[in-house]
Amino acid sequence: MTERGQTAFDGYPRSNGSVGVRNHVLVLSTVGCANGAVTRIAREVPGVVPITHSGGCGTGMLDARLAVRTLAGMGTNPNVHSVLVIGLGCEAAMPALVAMMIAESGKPVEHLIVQERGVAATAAMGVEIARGMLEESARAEKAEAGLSSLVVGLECGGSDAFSGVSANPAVGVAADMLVEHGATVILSETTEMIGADHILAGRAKTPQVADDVLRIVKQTEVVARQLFGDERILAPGNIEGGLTTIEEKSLGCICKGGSSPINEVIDYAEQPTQKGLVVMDTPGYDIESDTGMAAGGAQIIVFTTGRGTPAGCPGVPVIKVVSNSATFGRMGDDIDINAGRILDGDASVEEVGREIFRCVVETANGAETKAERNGECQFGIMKRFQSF
Amino acid sequence: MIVTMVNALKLNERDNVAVLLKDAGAGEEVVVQGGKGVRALEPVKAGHKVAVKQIDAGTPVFRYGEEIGAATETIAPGTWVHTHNVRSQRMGDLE
Repeated sequence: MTERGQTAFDGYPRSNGSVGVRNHVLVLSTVGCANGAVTRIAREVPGVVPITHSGGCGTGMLDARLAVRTLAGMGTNPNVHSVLVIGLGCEAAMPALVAMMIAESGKPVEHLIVQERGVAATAAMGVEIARGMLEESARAEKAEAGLSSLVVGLECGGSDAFSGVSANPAVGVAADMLVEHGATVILSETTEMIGADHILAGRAKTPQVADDVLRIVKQTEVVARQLFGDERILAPGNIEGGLTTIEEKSLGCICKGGSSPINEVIDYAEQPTQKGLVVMDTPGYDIESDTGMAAGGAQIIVFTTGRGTPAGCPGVPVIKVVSNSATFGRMGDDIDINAGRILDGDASVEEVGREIFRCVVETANGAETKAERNGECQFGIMKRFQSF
Repeated sequence: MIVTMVNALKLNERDNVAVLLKDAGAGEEVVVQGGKGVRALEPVKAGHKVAVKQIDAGTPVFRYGEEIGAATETIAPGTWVHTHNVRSQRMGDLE
């Protein structure tokens, strides 16, 4: 890799100043009921990235607003060239509103309503629009951008007791390097800050940020008590993998954030206003956490795992880092970097950290991740309350 | 008794547990990187924790130099340390 390759990348400049590392046309459903039309369009126009989900309606106002912000955020993501919004018509996540919010970013956006003409006619019109958007997107030209244009989300899923020893500290090294180069790095999963919140609060840039960290963790703890009672907030695989308490899991999880000061705490699917390390209030469920960071503008997600997971994110390359060589042996087709070499004595945390940093820059330059190659693009919108 | 070298990691001076890099059988000598070795009193799987010193009932279990929970019973050195003898201190102290 050249010297320039370490500090800059060729991306797609957008009219709002952001820079995409991909150049996708999204076909975005605003409610589960419109998914069929989206799927039909994607079948006819394989070049688009379809987003279907079960959200967008049947919730209170708070979750409806969260859905609108998430959907509009996905459409606004720098990796997106243009967006075709497909709505049913009567849903809480109003399609015209979502389209308008995306249009504010300067991206080409159109929306179609299934209730105005039925699924078949909506899909037929959508196919034409999507083809036009794809043609237009092919004309977008790349330009050199600094790493300060990058927003990188951090995620861990299917953690084991090695995650906090190998994969997460290595990602922490990469996170510190990205921050040094002026990038924005998002640490997520508030559930996995329970028991490590005092450390994060101690690294907060201002007393307000420290209060914000403690506040979101406390809120999550209160909900966790309602949902779990005296049970452990750990997945069965976490316990099988050697994790004993949420504190132990959290202390390993936060290693991904490296050692930088925490400059801001943002709500789910909100865009960071600060550079450097920021915290986003997301759930521990990987799919919804990835979605929140992508909607907040992350162009790349670095995702550690111990037990192994293939999960990707629509429109956003996900780089997988595994904590141990045994899982890498089983799931090498789904995983980009084996941090298990640290435990095997074959590499240091620093070395793997620098490798992850290089992989982020290469991915920004267009290198395909395993999750992209495998077509993994899961999407899920967080809800704070139940459906009704 | 079979004595095998088993590697385990102690991450911080303050820690009273080490994380096993390989499965250890009962009676095996666990060689701890970053600390004094200990003989496993029972089988401990890779990724799981073994006590490297006595942990009195009700006192903190330390990993990363931080508290990861409290012992629910007195844990002897060489004992498997997991959900059966450690409780979270965060999930039990809220109103």
